[in-house]
Amino acid sequence: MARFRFPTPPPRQLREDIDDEIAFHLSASIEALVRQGLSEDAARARAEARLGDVTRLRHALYRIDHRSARETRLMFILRDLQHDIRFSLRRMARTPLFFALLVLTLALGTGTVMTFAGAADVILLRPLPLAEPDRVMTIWRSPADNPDLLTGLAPGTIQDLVEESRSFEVITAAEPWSLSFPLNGVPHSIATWRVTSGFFDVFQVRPAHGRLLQTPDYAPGAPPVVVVSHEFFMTRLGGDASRVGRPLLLEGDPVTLVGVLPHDFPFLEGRHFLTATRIAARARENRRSDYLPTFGRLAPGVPPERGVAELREAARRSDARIVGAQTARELRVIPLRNSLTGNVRTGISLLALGAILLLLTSSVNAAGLMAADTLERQRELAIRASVGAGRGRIVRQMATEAVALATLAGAAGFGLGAVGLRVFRQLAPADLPRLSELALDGRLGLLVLASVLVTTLVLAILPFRSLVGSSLRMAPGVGASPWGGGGRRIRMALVGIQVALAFLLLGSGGLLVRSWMAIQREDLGYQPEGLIAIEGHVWQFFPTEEAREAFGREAAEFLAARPGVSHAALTSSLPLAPGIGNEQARVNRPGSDVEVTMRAVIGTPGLLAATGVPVLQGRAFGPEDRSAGELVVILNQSAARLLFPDRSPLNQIVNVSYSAPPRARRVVGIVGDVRFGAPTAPPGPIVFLPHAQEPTGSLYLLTRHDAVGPGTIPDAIQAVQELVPGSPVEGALDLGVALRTSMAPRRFAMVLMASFAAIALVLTAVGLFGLLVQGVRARRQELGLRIALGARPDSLRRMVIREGLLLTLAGLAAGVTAFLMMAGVLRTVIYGVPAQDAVTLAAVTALLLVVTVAASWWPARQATRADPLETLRGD
Amino acid sequence: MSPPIPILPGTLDFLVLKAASWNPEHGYGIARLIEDRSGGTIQVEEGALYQALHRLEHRKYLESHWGTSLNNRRAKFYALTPTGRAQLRKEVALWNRYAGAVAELLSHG
Repeated sequence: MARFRFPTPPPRQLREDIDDEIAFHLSASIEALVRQGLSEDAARARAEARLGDVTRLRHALYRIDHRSARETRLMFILRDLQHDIRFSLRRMARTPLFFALLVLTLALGTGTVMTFAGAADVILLRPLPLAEPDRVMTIWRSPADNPDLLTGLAPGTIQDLVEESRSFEVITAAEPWSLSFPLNGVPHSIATWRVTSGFFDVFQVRPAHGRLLQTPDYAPGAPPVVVVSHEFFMTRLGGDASRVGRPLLLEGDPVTLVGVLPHDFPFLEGRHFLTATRIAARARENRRSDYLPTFGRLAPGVPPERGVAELREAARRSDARIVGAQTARELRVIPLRNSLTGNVRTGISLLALGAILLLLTSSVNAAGLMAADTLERQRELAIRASVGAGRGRIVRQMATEAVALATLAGAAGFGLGAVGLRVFRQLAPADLPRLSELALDGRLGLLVLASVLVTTLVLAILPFRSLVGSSLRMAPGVGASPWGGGGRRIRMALVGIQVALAFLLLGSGGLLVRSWMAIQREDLGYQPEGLIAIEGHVWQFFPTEEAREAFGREAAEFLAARPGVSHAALTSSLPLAPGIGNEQARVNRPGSDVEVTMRAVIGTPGLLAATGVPVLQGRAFGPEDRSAGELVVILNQSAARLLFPDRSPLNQIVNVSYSAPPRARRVVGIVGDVRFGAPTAPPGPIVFLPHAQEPTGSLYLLTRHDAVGPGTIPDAIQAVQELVPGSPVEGALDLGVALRTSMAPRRFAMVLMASFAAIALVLTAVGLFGLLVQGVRARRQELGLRIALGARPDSLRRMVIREGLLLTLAGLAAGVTAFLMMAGVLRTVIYGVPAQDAVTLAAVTALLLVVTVAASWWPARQATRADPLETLRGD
Repeated sequence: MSPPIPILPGTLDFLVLKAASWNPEHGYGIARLIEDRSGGTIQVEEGALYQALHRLEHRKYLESHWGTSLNNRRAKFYALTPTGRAQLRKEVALWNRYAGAVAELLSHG
């Protein structure tokens, strides 16, 4: 059998041919000269002289021939390649559906992975824009009985830690503050951090312009300076670098703008000014008021555990200096990285797991499709092998095809990934840390190309290996029997795996959907829709307690009278809103050692009615609760249970220490629990204090509107400006929107996981469908024979569907097992449903079975249409 | 008889093509054909001839095969390809114009 070979001789052959040619020339030449009458020797000498230097000639000829052979070989390779590519494209064009499916399958998997690799890269893995960010720690307090309630530190405690800590290079604190700044002639209060010395030794960043705060800025009597956020610089100062070094008018006084923070400064929390402050001498002994967010930078070489242990010990010694009763508090130290991504990390990990499962599903599906295709090609390959195509030639043909496929799939996957990243940015909750840095980059593209290329090459060549071993030696007439052959068993296993993977994705998606539904049903304890809150700080307008008490009363009346407003109230604290005052109070029951640190909410009489918090016993605050009258409080159910587990607290006396030393107050009402934080956070104890008796100047002005439209917030701001002419207005908040925003991450995770599950379901259905169709086609003869022998159509249909169901059941068994094993991962992100939720498991199982039957339907019908005549004709 | 002239630079290629255009011929035969049909005027430098043959084969103006010579020996025969024939026509036309122009110029004494 003639072997197909490149028509270019090897080097040795080239040399031999040249020698032969020269030898012939000489002998012919000599012969002719002898015929002319020369002696043999003379003839030889003459012939050689005419030819010239034979060695040089030989080299010259070899150079020409060798180059020629090389170029020819290259040309042949290119021609083969061209042929292979054209052949591959023709093959794809012949079965466009099959190849579209294959490309789409691979592209879906890689596109998804690219999206999530990109997102995870930005959100979790990319280094923070700080020098040695892993040494930066955030330091908090929490009540011993409620570790989730993080508060700042008291100034005295911070001073003690600064003096005693050896493992921390620097410890610094930041105080939330606000400074009035004129925008378009109207004073606006701009959220500010007042930071203590060393702040920028902890947050070591490079300023975008100018300089950051330096040690002399913190000295007493130093000229006041301010550093602004990049956002403020761009939007409010027009990005004008010449303003750095010149004064800004803050609170009516000129303060020098010394620098601009970098745009990616990791700790701003919506604040725009940074100014220098010191812990005042009189605050030195205040170790009780935990309100200053604190940060530290570990000294080089100190393991974090040691730093944390030392800090906790220092905090215990500091607490021991407190005179009088105190609640047990813990010191919590959290790496900055975790504090930025804490909530997001689990969700993203789950989604990454989902993306990887989807990639697996798509690869498995592609492997199945390719395996089927290879089986169908066995005959074609056998023919080509028998007419002399070498193994190398066939491998190259198949590799070319795989590369063509990989290129198409890679391009499609990259396109999908690019769209995916854009959708991710649109869909992702805006408060996802560092979302703005999310972008397509070349590394992601390479990742995609590499993964597709490797997958495809492996997919194309693995099945081929088995072919080289067996069917290439078969005579062209003998097709491999796909039924029961090794290839088909592999494919069945692949479909089974796909079912299992789909089960995992569907199960996870199902649990997230069920959690979402559970949360929607959850009672928040208040009605956020229609509530608008505007933050106001009125201390300077109403300097005395009497003035602020009167302001509270009049403001509520004024706001309630506005058109479209059904209720109005003033409060110090709101669910879903950043805190603006002291949020904590310690409440104890006289004559017992029960003391509970709980959230303190100051409100005017209309607060409960406006927010929709139900009064369960007693009454709401009324006009009778004046500063001159009896001191009263209202507790929520949780607080009531904690303080008075044995009896109703109504009309009982409690001691409340809020801004002043403990004062005895009478409980006049019990109200329902409120979920103050995220809707999934359990409600905690709350004590309500009447504004008239705690007349704070930092307030939310709260209005309930019958309908919230685009004009509602401007109207509300207008109202506040009429109420207190010249007052700064900052932070308008629509609680309905805030609630939806706070739910956005969960919604995002649910939608994505559900999409993954849907894609996996489709892929699985396609894989199953393809397997059954191919099985029916391979069994045409047998089926024809059965029909000829009188088999009933529905028994044939059942045979095919049974096969599909058996595969699905096997996959389901594996899927359920794997799902129960990974339930632990899910437990942290689901809410209100158990991880082994029977409803979800049953629904997903039913769904997969229905899809199986649907995917089997058409192949089953085809089975009944096998032609008995075809069987008789043979193949 | 005046002594033979060595081949003028730039003319070897088309003389070789011309010699190979009548019948497939081996290198020795082509050398003799050029000498005989030029009436012995042109003398071929044989080393250069073989390099020209291989070069022209590489350029696809000639193709070669191994055959048997008249005295029954294995020899490499060169034949003109269609491309080579077209090239020969072009070069002959070019040469004729050139030679005509030279003759014309010289005729004016």
